[in-house]
Amino acid sequence: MLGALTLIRLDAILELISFFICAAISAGFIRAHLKLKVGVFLWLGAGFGLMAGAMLARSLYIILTLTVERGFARPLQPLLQLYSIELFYSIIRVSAYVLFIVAYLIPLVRERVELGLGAVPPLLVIYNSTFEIISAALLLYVVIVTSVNWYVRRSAGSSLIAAGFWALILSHVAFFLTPLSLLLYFLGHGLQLTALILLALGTVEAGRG
Amino acid sequence: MRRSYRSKVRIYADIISSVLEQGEARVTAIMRDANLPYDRLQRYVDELCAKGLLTRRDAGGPLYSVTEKGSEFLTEFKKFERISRAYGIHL
Repeated sequence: MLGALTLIRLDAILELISFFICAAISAGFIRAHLKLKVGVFLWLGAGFGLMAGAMLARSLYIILTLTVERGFARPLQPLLQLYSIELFYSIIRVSAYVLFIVAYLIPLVRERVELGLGAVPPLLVIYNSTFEIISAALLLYVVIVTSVNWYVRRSAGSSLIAAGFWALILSHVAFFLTPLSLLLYFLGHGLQLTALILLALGTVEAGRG
Repeated sequence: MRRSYRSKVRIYADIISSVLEQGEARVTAIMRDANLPYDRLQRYVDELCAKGLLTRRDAGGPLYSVTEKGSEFLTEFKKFERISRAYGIHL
């Protein structure tokens, strides 16, 4: 057990070094955004910044847990804490990857709009692509939790709720990609409606017991 | 042939680069180098002057030159363009 904990501490130190590299890359992209006002750099900077923040939080938390609380009365407690920070870290890192995808998709979407290949302009005024992808990123945590819940419970209610949130997150992705094709706008609405029906059915099903 | 898309910041860089190469440039020469129609170029040139990246003087028509701030912008653009290319993102 102690050997494994020592290895985790070494891992935390390596992660601390990764944090500095990640933070430097983030700062570089933020600087590029401030200089050139290019949104792509802001998204990349935010993605690397998010990763850096998660790395710093994880490594400091692990170092504190394993160094300061050395003489634990209950050896299982630090492992539970480590599990929690690991889960938090993974979610933040996935969110950072979502930002990277946004950074790569923005030029593509913008190009379609600029060349007049996108959907009708009023739709683009109504739907804010950035807001849609932020919504999807925020929903990611709920999707993960409800999916894990379904996996553990295997009940009809939990499966409907999980499917509902999956449909909801996919609807936001479809709305985000609307400038690529008008079809995605209607697909987004279809998914959103499906999501709400699934959530309503899941709630009713769970209420029945 | 499919027209390649240029972002606003790239168009700025193309205009500044054209003016810098000529020292002082007239609109027609910038139009040719930056591959822009007159009305769009005029809009961008006005924006660049307002941002302090270009200056304008009259000599039988407007003549444009690059300010120090404009040169710095171009240097920064080239540097960050290389980085973004490495990431597979074209500005």
